[in-house]
Amino acid sequence: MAKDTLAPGKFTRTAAQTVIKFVCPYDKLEFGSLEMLQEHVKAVHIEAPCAETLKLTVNGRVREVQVEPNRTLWYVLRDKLGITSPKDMCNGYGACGSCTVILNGRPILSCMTLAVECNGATIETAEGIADAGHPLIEAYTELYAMQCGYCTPGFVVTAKALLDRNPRPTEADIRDALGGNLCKCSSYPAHIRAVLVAAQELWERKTEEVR
Amino acid sequence: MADEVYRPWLWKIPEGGVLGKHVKVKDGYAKASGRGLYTRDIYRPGMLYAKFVRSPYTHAKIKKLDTSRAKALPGVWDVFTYDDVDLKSNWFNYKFFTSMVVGDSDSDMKLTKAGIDAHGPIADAYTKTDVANYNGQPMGIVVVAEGEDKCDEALKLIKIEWEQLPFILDVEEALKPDAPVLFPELTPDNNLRRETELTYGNMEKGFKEAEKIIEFTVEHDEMSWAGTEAMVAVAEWKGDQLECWFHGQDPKQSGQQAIEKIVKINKLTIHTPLQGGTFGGLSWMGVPETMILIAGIAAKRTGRPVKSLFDHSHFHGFEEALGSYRFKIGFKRNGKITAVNLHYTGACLIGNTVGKLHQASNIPNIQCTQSIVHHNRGPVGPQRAGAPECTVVTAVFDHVAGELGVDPTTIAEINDGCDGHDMSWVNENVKKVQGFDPARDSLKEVMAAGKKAIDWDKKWHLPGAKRLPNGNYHGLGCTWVEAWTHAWGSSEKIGLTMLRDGTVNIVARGCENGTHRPSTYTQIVASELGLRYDDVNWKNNDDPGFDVAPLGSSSGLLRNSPPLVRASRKLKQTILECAIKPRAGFMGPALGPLFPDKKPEELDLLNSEIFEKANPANKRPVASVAAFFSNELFAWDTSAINREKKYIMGRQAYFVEVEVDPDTGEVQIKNVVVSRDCGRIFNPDSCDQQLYGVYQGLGRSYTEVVYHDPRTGIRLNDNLIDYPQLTMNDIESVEIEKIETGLGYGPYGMIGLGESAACCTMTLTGPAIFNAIGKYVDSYPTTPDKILKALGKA
Repeated sequence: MAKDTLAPGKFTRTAAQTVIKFVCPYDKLEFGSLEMLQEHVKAVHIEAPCAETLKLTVNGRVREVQVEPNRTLWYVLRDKLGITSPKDMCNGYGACGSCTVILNGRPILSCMTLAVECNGATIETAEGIADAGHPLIEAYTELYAMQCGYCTPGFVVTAKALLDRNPRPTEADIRDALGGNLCKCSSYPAHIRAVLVAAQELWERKTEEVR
Repeated sequence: MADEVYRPWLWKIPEGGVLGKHVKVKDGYAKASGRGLYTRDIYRPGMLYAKFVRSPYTHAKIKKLDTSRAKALPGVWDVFTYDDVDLKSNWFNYKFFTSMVVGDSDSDMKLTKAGIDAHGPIADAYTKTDVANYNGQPMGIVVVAEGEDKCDEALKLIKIEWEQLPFILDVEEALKPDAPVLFPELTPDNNLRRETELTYGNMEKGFKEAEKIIEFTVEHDEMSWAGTEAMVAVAEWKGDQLECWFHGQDPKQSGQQAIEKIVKINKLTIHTPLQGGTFGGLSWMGVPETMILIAGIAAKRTGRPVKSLFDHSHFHGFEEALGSYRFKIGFKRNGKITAVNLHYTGACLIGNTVGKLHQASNIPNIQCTQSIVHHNRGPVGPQRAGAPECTVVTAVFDHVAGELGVDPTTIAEINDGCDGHDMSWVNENVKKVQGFDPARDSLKEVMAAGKKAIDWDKKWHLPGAKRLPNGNYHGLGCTWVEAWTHAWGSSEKIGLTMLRDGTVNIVARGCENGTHRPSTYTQIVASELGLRYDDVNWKNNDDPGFDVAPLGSSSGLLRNSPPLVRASRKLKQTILECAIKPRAGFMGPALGPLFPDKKPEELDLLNSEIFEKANPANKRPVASVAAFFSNELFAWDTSAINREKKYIMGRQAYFVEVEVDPDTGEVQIKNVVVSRDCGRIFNPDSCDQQLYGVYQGLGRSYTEVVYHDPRTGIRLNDNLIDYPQLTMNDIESVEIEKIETGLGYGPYGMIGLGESAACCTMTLTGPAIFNAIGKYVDSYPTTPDKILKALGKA
């Protein structure tokens, strides 16, 4: 019998049925619905955070998650949705860019973004960019724009956001856009080449479509 | 073992293969798409988390410890400490397996009951069970709970009464007579942990022969790893079988050596996911071992999978080059150096800080004395191994040239040699004897290529002589060092298995931390076997017993490529022998050989096809042999040590062009040229990637430093906002020149290059600044305040 523990409710899954319980994380009392649990928390644990239900469209799939208001988008993507491409090199200081995702078309630092601010948002991560066949993935792989790869998804997402708004970037544009992504292994020069190659490929695809 | 099987530099690259050519990154999709998993990304059903108490003080002793409130917190499954029997009986002694240079030899690291040895792995230092020796030290007090947040909450509930003790951060202060003794149980009277002396030649004679003598001091401040995948391990028991996920360079010697205290090796599986920035001595500080051991112990105690982890582990530990280097150099007016005396005071634990100077020069008289001291900065190790030695080489040559008022590159060749011998001696007694081409001169070739690329001859000027129209000073700096490869460790068995469809798996365990081992090892095997690149794979076998040699960055290629080649050649022979054997029928009559009436030596393999050499049109896919004989198609080998004396004949040179703003002291790094003898290139793109390490090196040369509060000793900038690493915009252009002289001891004359760029450029802003402003700034990093001070403006 698989057993998952997800705050605040406790889920017990069997082969035949799924039982959902609403349990207060502070005093372990059980309630019949999320609304009753929320009322209890507000009334009894006045200062404690209580979960909210968020609707996120992640890489084209609509996902519903329950999260406390103090959770970052980074936490939700990784711990709740199993999307591990957003990384952490700076312990949540917003300094490294490895947690970058695209939120409603803009690249943002998911470690510095509260999940509750993202209700209803559309989110793209590196996995989605790869699944969509974006030429950045092929360009990165072909041109060795990576070493250990830990920072690479963050670069790919930031680059994709750049190409979305500027399909013909110059080297200066690329440096400006990717300047906030850190790479300790120092793969930097190859990223510029990879983005230029991907931009060219996108342009050729577009030209082909128009024809 | 002087026969050719163990002299890989005499081997010839098979024709028509993929070695030396551009290939796609084997794990490129995994890394670029974010689908590749790192140890931090491993989540197991029902997994708990384990975290450590970290010392808020720089040097303090625990007087009282109360974990009861933490234990009582709902969601906490366990709290255990250094007093617990599970820890007391299972801490291990980690032996660093060998030294890489002459002189200082290996020593033991004792993993302490307090968590992590405060002074790194190559130490004979102990820390007390209840004593913290640096700010942030993980203590032997571990909380195991549901979720990281719960761990953090529980850690806050642990009550500790600390007694603060005097601390020392400055290595020179540590040796003063009135300095507090930090480790009385080790050194009762002072803080001198080790003192060494190493002398080549005759110093008195060397200084007598000198026409000029100079003395100066170079200083390194504290620099840290910063910006890597923070330390972590996952362990899960299934009965008496243990499955682990390891974060480190070396699953065999590092992870296994720790965890085999609590499980037999044949019941152990260690996975090595992708590794985030696991280069250098992070693997030597007892950290990966501690993580996996704690995870294993906690998993056993709780019956659940456990992930043990650090925050901020990227600031756990600092670069060993920290310290002061006091030079006395004697030389002739033509630049020929006659004697070098160095006294090093600091934290360097590798051993021989004059090793590279001796190995790659004809300087006959070199002496190095070292005072390695106790301190409270934390664990020390090589961020990239070789930095202190490169500091020495750069300082010596640049100061001699500066004193003479000459272009530094003009004194390179006059001092070139190996182990104190001239290059002419090396040509006659090494290259010719060992089978190298005596006509190749690595230093000449790398200097010529590098100088041309940066237009050195046109641009170089006397120090302080050139101001630009924008008012900035213009400067050029250069350094040249041996092109070294480390040769640490040994592999277990490395296997190659051909499967029924004619594809091959490399059967071995090892970490991939950015040196593109899967791609390069695949190229070696595919090339030697005559297979297509896509028909060879390395899935990273997770069983002990098949391991590549450790330390993927430093010494992986040199140690692992010979057994890969030998195993490939064995397997190829077996394939060709099977190609002439009758094939067993399956529920039918037996079939004849694929190549009847032929001998194996009449056949060959290319592009995954077996063909008759005399008649290449007569060919079959190798899969048609594998389909019948896959049960025989396995070969293995191991890295064997050739004990011939080896001389480091390869060279590398680095050039940098800067502008220095006289009003702010800011340095703009305009151009960097890397000119590196690779011996023989296996994967040109991977070589380029490693040589882009100039960003790492120049960051340590110019910007990176950890600041401590002088009153309390605590770190003030251990975060990536305030610890300034170089970004892509901090160097305008990097150009790489790769040279192949074949003068390496690896297969086909290969020289590995995992450490080079990051170490060689670690003190390269110094020479460039000297050329720009005419004054030395011999204190690293060469931050703007120091430049302004040199200009007399601060």
